[in-house]
Amino acid sequence: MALIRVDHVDKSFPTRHGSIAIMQEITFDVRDADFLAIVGPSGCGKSSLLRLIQGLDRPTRGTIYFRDRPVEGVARGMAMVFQNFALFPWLTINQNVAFGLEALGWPPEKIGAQVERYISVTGLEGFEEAYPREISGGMRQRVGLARALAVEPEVLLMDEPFSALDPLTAEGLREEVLQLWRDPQLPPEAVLLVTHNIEEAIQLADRVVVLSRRPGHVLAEVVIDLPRPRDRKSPAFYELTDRVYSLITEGGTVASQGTASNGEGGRPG
Amino acid sequence: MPTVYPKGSPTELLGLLVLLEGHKGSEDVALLADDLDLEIDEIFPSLEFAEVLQLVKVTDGRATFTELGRKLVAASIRERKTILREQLRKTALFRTILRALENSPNHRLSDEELGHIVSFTTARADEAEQNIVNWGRYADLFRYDADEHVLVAVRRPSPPRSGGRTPPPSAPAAVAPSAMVAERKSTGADPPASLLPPRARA
Amino acid sequence: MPQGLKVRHPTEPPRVAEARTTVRSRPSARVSAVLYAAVPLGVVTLAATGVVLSPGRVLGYLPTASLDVLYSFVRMVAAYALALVFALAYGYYAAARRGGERVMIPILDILQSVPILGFFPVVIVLLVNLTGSSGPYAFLGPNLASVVLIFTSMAWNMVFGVYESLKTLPTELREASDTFQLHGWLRFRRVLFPATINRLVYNSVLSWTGGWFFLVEAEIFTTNGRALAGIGSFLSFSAAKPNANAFAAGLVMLVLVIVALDFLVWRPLGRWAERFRYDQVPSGEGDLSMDRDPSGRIRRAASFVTRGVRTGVTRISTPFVQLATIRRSPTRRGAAAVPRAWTNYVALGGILVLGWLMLIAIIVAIYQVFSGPILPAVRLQILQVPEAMGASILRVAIAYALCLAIALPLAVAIARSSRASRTGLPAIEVIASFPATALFPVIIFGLSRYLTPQGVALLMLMTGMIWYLFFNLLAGARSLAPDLEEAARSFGLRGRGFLRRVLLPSLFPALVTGSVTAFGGGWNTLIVAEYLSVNGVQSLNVLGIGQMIDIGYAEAGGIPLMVTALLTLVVSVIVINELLWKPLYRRAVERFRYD
Repeated sequence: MALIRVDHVDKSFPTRHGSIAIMQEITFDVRDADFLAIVGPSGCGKSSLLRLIQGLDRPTRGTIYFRDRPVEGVARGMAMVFQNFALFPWLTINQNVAFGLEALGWPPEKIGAQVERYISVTGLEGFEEAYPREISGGMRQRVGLARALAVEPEVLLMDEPFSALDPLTAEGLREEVLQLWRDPQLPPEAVLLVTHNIEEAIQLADRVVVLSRRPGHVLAEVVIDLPRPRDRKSPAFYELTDRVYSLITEGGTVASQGTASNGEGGRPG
Repeated sequence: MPTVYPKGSPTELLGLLVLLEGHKGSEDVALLADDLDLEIDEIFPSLEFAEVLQLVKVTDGRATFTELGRKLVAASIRERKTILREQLRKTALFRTILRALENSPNHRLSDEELGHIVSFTTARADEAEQNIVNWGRYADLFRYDADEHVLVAVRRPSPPRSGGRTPPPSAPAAVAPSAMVAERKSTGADPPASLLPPRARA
Repeated sequence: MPQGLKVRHPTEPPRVAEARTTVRSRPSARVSAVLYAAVPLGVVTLAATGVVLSPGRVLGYLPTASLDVLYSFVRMVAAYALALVFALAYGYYAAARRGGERVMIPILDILQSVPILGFFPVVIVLLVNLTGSSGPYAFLGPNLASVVLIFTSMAWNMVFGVYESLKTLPTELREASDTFQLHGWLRFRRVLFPATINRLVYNSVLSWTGGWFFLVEAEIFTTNGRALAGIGSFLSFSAAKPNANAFAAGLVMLVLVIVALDFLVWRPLGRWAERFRYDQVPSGEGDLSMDRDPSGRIRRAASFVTRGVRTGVTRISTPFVQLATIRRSPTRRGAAAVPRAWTNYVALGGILVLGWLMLIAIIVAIYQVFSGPILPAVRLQILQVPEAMGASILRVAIAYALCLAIALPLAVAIARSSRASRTGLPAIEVIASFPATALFPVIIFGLSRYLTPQGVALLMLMTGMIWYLFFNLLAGARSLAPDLEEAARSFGLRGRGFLRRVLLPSLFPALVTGSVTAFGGGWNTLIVAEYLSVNGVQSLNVLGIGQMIDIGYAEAGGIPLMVTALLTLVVSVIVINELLWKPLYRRAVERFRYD
């Protein structure tokens, strides 16, 4: 069963000179135990898509289903990790992680225990009473991660979570995100990652949905069945990267070709 | 001899180790940097500190995992923290800081006092201070009160297991002064607790 | 240590070292700054009155002075409490309600661009009519009026603080509250209220500085008729006598209160409020040390001195006529492409002039119906109003030119010398937080022996205007983008060339902001800069719109004159803002801003 179904979704924004189509005819599923990545060039509406799925915004046309129910308004059961962390500077790390639980109306003792658990699994002990501006970028994104995981979402939405970090830190954090993902004790059931970094998508995800340039549409769905941890220098990895790359560059110039290759989303060569 | 204070953040260091693992645990430093489209001096601080923590060995421009480095990459997020804590404790700098922390009347150390310790090692005091605080907090070696700008000692009931050649403080925290003496005796080879420039022991 | 690999640490930028010393030497700098501030004040007092102070007699006056400061302080607290509640409610609704924004913000813009003090006499007259000019409640009228005045000088600033904090809350933070479904009270407590705290505290400091300025001015003004017990009237009366010892005692108390508030309330509060900043959370390394940026301090000082009279121009550069038709986002304010048809200006001018004439006609008519015919003398004075307005505009313009001639070289010189700014800045900060109006009595009564009345008026205007220019220019000169400066240096641009091609153009936005606020300060100062009589003795009387308002207030049957003069002042200010400052400000934003 599909956890999330994005069904023929269009999104356009009105401007002074008519409306601008951000994405067109987007269709794909997020299944149980799926680590799905959405890649595409900047401006293809990947982040907007994530916001539509979360229910922060509504599609112009089409429907998004979460557990077979149309998403109308902000959906429970999903939690977002933001590109620039979106931590509240006036709340301590503990309070930031407790943020979502407070909104759910948990009693304070339960919140305390839950926060402690997720502070611990993300390696944040020692920073509980710190304020976001005191800690490094890598630690900040761990807080973003802990905050999202603490509400035990079924789907974790990640919006370019590593792109505000320096490359080494991003490399370290990617590894730890995978470690958390592999832990069966921990939520979520599925991850939806939005990124402009093709290598990152292939390194992390089980499947990659490739979007074209604006107006974004699905060029292909690529299954990544390389064993983890994935070696970025292996020929198979390289080939996949190359394929996604050429899909995007060609799809951008010849827009119609993209939809044709939609059904091809099968096995990699 | 490089003087040693923490460079980069824990996550950055981990990134470096993960990167090295992707190169089968041993690689030319330049190629390593190239893998992430970085200049050498962008990975260098982390590399240098990884070497100080005895996670990586660098010879002839080639970085290679130590046993411990390999273990750290394979470990869980929580185990990594423990390993790094033990390794940090062994550095002269952190030993000096922890000792100063124990010796101060209320187990607190202000930014300025920390600055005095750090200024022996390098000119870039601000960054060094920040990194020290960041690492010390991460490894739970001390807390930091950002309002008061002071390091605060952590009382840990159970002494951690010995991981390297420095014997850990053996007495419980409640009898800190004597624990200090015991440690000082057992680490006779090291500089005394006065604020001498902490040096890396390569 | 890898061999053959040498990494040189980049040499430490000197800026960091400088910042550190500034931070560490702070407490002593504060103390010396207070001394710096006290010395010129003392010198002015002595020089002005020509009397040698006796410390014993000064001490003797301290109890009376402190009681009067207490009265003034209570007014300030009352006004501030009102302003705080008002700011939170108004700012919150303006930011939260879509429709609210379109109506509420333009209203504020208009309110804050008119000279607040002009309304003071009107408010007093109204309230005194309500409470009666004698009897048990008579004291309420002037007191309430002064609280209302101080409130108006404090509130706008704070409302904008709340409104802008809420509007500029980063999208991600807003979305985070949405995705975790934080609503209602919890959202207010966890997100919205904390988001306003930093600006609110900061703007409160500004509001108090502005508040003192207007409080003292209002109390001086009331010595024209019904006196209001307070430090302003204390200073005014003791200067009129003249009693230098009492005057000195008053100044000492005022300085003490302001410095004590600064140390005991605003500094601790400001440090605490740092936590609620959300503007610059840099990614990368954690930033343990905030507030180490010396140029940030100047910028703070600049808006510090901007006081409550920041006019609507710097907030919004769109002509009012167009406000209703466009949706503006505060983040892109000024950048919005607005058609600048001259017809708009003609329309605006027409509406304003018509409205002006009609309002005057209506008021005169109402007055004639209820209070009988206008006295012939008053009628003559009303006909003099346009001429008086012209005289005032000229006076403000001359004062402005003189201020600029002093402030520009001074600001550039101080900004370019790091030593001068290190030692001079803290002193200037303190001086700037001292209400210049407290020195007016000295200027009027002391210096009138040496200067013509015109000169006295001009000098007072300058005192009320120069800080705005100086601080804005200083901030502008200090914040010259380092890469621009480097570029200039690498091309060998020096001396006059550097001044003409780099420094002055980059100062343009600061100059416009400074000029706008200086003019705003000037309009407000007019009320006491052109006319004063204490205990029935006329001390200053020069032709001007402030004089007309004052005479109208003090004279029997003068209400129509007062209202006419006030309306004329308001309309003139709005016209000057629309025709001169808004276009200039827009240009400054569009062409000269360097990000």
